[in-house]
Amino acid sequence: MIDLGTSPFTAAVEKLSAGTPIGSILKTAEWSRLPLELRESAFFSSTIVSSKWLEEAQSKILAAVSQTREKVARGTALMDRSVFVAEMRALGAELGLRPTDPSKVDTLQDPLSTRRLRLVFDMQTASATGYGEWKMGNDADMLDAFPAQELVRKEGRKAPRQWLKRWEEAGGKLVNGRMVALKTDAVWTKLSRFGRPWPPFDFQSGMGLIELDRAESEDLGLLTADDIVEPASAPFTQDMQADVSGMSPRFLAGLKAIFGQQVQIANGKAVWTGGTR
Amino acid sequence: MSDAVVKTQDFATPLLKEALATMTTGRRALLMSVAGATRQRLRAHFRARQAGDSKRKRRGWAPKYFWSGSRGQSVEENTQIGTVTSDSATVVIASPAFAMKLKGGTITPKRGKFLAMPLRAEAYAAGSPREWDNQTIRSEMRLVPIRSKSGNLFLAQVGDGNLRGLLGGSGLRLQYLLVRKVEQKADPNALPSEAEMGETIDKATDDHITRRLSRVPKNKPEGTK
Repeated sequence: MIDLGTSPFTAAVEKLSAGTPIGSILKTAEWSRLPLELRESAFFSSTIVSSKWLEEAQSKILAAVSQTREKVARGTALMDRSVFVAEMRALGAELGLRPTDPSKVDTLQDPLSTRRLRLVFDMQTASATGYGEWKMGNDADMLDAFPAQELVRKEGRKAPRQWLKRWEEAGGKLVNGRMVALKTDAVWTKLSRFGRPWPPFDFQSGMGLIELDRAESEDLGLLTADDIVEPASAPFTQDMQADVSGMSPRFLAGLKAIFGQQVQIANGKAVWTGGTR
Repeated sequence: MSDAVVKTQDFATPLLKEALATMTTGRRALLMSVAGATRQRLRAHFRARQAGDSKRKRRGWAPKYFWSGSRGQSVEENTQIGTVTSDSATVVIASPAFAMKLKGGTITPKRGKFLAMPLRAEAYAAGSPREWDNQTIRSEMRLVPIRSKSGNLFLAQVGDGNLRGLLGGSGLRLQYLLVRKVEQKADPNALPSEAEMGETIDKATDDHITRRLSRVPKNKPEGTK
């Protein structure tokens, strides 16, 4: 009746499966200029042009999250981050993805450095898990029983960002010094570097969420006993269009070819229209 | 996709069963509340495991956030609600490594010939030896296999006598012990006790029913026969 199982997290698998690999020379800051829905529909990594590499990266991360076993030397094995790092580095070397500038080798700008490959894996798995939890958290019954959440530090950092300041700048209120809000509050999206209401809210932040039950949420004054929290109808309510006037016509044509009718590009603007391709 | 749900345990309590038996509507909402509370209790347990004592901590090695972290791979983050219907709910711990902790068993190498056991903080932090990038690191930092007189096999860094740095000019730095298999004992504290889980479920059942009843006229209890 209340079963505990160890199967994959289906919603996280769905999120990862939905991304289309897109190779591009765009850097992270340039990607952030594209409409949010488009970014969420794409699987990309800063400055990686090779679709082959991206397809393989997506496939391996998907295998890890879906716990798919692959045939290996001595039977079958699960994918994990260390295998991802080793195999994506080997493929990248074959495809010539090492930076030609020696000063960039083994830095985050080197797509084959351990740090960068781990970052790709970590960001994708964290985002997929975060999305899955956001989706389940928006179920009406779930939202009624667990209407709020708290931003907390999950991992230590040598130089942590100023999250309290950032919280207040995003419009969040501190309750007894705690960064708490209803799950449907706009603060979560405003807090995020990526414009999403689920974690991770920034690269390697070490921050995460703890869900709060109804009683604690009421005690903290986030809602009253009679309040019904309406589920969010869609994850994004902003950034449906973006200024793409500085981007190369070739890249924009590529986006159009991949996303078809889902994106309209005209007069220096890319507008996400959704629907089917 | 891997196998379907591996059922580990059914935590339903007599109170929950009784409550469900008397309800004709709102059963899913009750089960969702209980599943949410179960997940919350499990997660608190995993956060406590992360903060608690461990062999790694006693050695002074940096954490990898196995139990609780923010990279989408910790046990806590992968403790999620699976399917919830008006008859049942599933809480999923989507972590094969956790399943091994829970049940115990023999771990054997699948991709290579050996399992690599870290012997130093830097090896533990670096993860598997396959993550070491031998193409870009200095030669004295590269891992080479060596065999001890007693027959043990290691991955080590070897100084050539003319180098400065980590190895102090020359010498051997053993990073990993290579083994054919590891016996992992079942961790009796991988999950909260059954008593704790039962308490959590009873409290969530009670809270949910109280909340529901407070929202409807007193002589018309919602969803009861």
